[in-house]
Amino acid sequence: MHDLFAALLDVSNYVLILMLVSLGLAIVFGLMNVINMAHGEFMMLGGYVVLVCHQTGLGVLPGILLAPIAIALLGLLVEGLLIQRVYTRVVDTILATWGLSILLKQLVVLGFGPGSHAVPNPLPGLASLAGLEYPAYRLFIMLVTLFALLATFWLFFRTDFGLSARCVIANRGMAACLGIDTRLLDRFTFACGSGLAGLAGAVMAPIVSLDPQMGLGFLVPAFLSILIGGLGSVATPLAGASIVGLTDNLVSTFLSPLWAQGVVFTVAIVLIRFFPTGVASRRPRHL
Amino acid sequence: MTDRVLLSLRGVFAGYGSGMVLQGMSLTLAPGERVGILGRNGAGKTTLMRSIMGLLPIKAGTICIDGESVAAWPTHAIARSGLAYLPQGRELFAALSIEDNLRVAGLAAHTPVARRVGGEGSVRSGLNLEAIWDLFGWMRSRRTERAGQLSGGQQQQLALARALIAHPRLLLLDEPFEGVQPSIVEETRQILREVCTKHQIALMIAEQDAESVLGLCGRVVLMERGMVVLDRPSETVQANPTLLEEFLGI
Amino acid sequence: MQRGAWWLVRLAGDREIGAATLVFCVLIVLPLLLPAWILTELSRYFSYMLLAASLAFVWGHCGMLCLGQAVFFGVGAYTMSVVTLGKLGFAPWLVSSWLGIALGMSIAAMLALVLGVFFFFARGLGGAFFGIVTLAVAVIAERLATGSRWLGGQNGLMGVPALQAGLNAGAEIHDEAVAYYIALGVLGIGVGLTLLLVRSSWGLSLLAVRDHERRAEALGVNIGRRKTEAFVFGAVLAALAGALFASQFNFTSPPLIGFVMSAEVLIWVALGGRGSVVGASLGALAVRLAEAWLSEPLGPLWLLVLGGTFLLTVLVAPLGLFGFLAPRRS
Repeated sequence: MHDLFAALLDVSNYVLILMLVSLGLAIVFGLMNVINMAHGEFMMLGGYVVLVCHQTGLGVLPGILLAPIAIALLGLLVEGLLIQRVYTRVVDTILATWGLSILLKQLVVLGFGPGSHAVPNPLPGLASLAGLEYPAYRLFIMLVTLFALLATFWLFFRTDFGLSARCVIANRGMAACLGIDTRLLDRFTFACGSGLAGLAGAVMAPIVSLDPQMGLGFLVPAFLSILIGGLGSVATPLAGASIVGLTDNLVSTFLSPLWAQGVVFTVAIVLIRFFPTGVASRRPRHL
Repeated sequence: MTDRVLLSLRGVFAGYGSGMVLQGMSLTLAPGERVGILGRNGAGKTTLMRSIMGLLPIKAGTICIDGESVAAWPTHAIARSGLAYLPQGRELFAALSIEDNLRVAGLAAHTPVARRVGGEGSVRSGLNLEAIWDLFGWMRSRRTERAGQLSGGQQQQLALARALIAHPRLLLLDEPFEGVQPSIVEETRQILREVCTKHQIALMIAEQDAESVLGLCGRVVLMERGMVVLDRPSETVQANPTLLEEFLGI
Repeated sequence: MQRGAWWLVRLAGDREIGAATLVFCVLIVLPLLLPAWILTELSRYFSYMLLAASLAFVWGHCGMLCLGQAVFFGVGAYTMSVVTLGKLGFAPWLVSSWLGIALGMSIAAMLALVLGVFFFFARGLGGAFFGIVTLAVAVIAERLATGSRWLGGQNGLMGVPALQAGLNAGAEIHDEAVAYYIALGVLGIGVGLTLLLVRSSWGLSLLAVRDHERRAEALGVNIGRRKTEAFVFGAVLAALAGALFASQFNFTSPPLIGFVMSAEVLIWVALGGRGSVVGASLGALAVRLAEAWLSEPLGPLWLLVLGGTFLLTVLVAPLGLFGFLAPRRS
């Protein structure tokens, strides 16, 4: 019983992180129709911000606080310099952000070397949860990601900004006709999505090995989550992330990690094929 | 009526892709004036309105609001300068409630409107939520219902309410009475007449059917192949029904 | 007779074909001017150029953004290696280079067929969806190749023999000039065939599918089938390039079938000119030459420069360096 509970917590860990990454990607895509191929790199950079904070003595936990802000600012920069020049052409946006991802990866290689780095665990030890002993830091990760997800939902469903954003997602032209400054919203939304990725990377840093190539490992599952879950609303990608995360963990545990990717992918493309608008959404999306 | 011009188009060419829909469109509108734009399908009525709102970039010509050229302005700036657009198909936010649909429209209206043009320095009279509930009685009690669940006529009125809440100086309505039951059409026309007169709102209605427009607008403009072919006061058109028949082939 | 003459006239006025002929002539003459070792180097680039051509066709001409074109390249390379190394479990004596090539192309075709049938016949699955799916395929393919002991695992397969002239094994072709001309021949046939197909009515219908899908469908074009056909052709071409590659470089490894390689070929095509098959090939050549020249002195900065150039091209010159070669469309 305890093993099951622990396994459940492990799965939740992964799913929550995936949700965070997918949400950032989905928000940007839903609002701006922009596919950010560098999203994984934003996540990676979030982790490296924590590394820098650790190396300069600032500490890991402050680093985790700082990372989403730093990456959000980076997102603003990227949006202004790059995205706003290409966002009307979907294919070129993919290529441009891909070029950006190459650039970001290489900058990290130049700055930190191609190898991997480790960040110490700021909350070592076990915590007691309902009679189960579970790594304290992993509980912390879950709390942080849950908080971030809820905060994002609050932003989108309880604030005027969120109301405007949802309108732009629903019908960009009409939203503009109502006086909503869509370009300003684009900027903030991109920053927000990037910040979420940065947070995901930052909070994961102490338990993974940071290396410049780690972005891709999350980009593909995040995309698959969005495609499976659909883009009908801000919530549907989370359904996709759950499916992807659950499948990945189940297969990893019962078969092997090697098979996991393949199975996830196969399940994903079958679902996408038969539910082109997503399993959770009813609105068709044109890519 | 002053001889100030609220909206003026001169030699506007606009279209989609390589095709040109508007071919030298020229039109002026005075503050508070009501004009009906008539024309067959494909004459360019919708393209005209989309061009004015900045949803479609124009290929040539000028569009001026209060004398200032707005052809390069982003849509939201044009909207904030006092233009409200009710497109064909209404385009409500179906997943949002009635109240939210109205609120989001009010958001931009209450921001310090960066109106570069003085607009006679007039304070746009308040058309806040309360006034809207008064105008459209049924909405108040159903304000939390999703817009997508309303009937055609109710959606039409919501779309109109949404346009009005933003204190517009000019209302662009694209075939507003299409697919709406006659009783609601009449009710809406009444409301339009009342509100536009009371708040000095100019009106541009695009319609295929002359009847619904003649009683409401003082002026009728007939479009064909992206140009104005007839521009007469409504009384003239009402007195000579053959005028329209010639062009519309009714 | 008249129709043939008219075709010739059209071809003669075609910039892209003109450029292709010019480049081809230059390449034919080069062995007379260059030392043997440069020939080997150069002939290796031909497989890259053919790969670039295949992607230019699939993406530039047909509008299908395939982020995993290297998968087919890898399939060709691995099949060639497996066959010529005698690793076919049921028939280890079958080591024919020709079989390797043919089998590689067939397997790639089948894979493309499966993917195409699965995706192109569904509504609502647009271009970028397809791109992401092909990306995922590339990632999976690399994983599978790395995890397979039969395919050599992480190190891949080494010691793949060069092209063997005989029907089933025989003397390996080691003469630099001969190998060069064979590779050039393969490139020439591949690119030439593509150039002709692009201008055929089949090729033109693909343009309609790319730009005006609904209209093409209304005119009776079976969209799913047309796209699949094009995708299969691109895959076969890429597999041919891969098979050639394996025989020239004498090895195959997982990165060749994966995401990084797919990204590279995408960069070549984007830089060279996605609208032109010849432009894309030249792009591949240009990048490879630049890399040979600059990657040593620049070290890790090389990738930075490449990425930056790629970015700039997408922003400023989306048609690519040689994009002007693209045939004018009505």
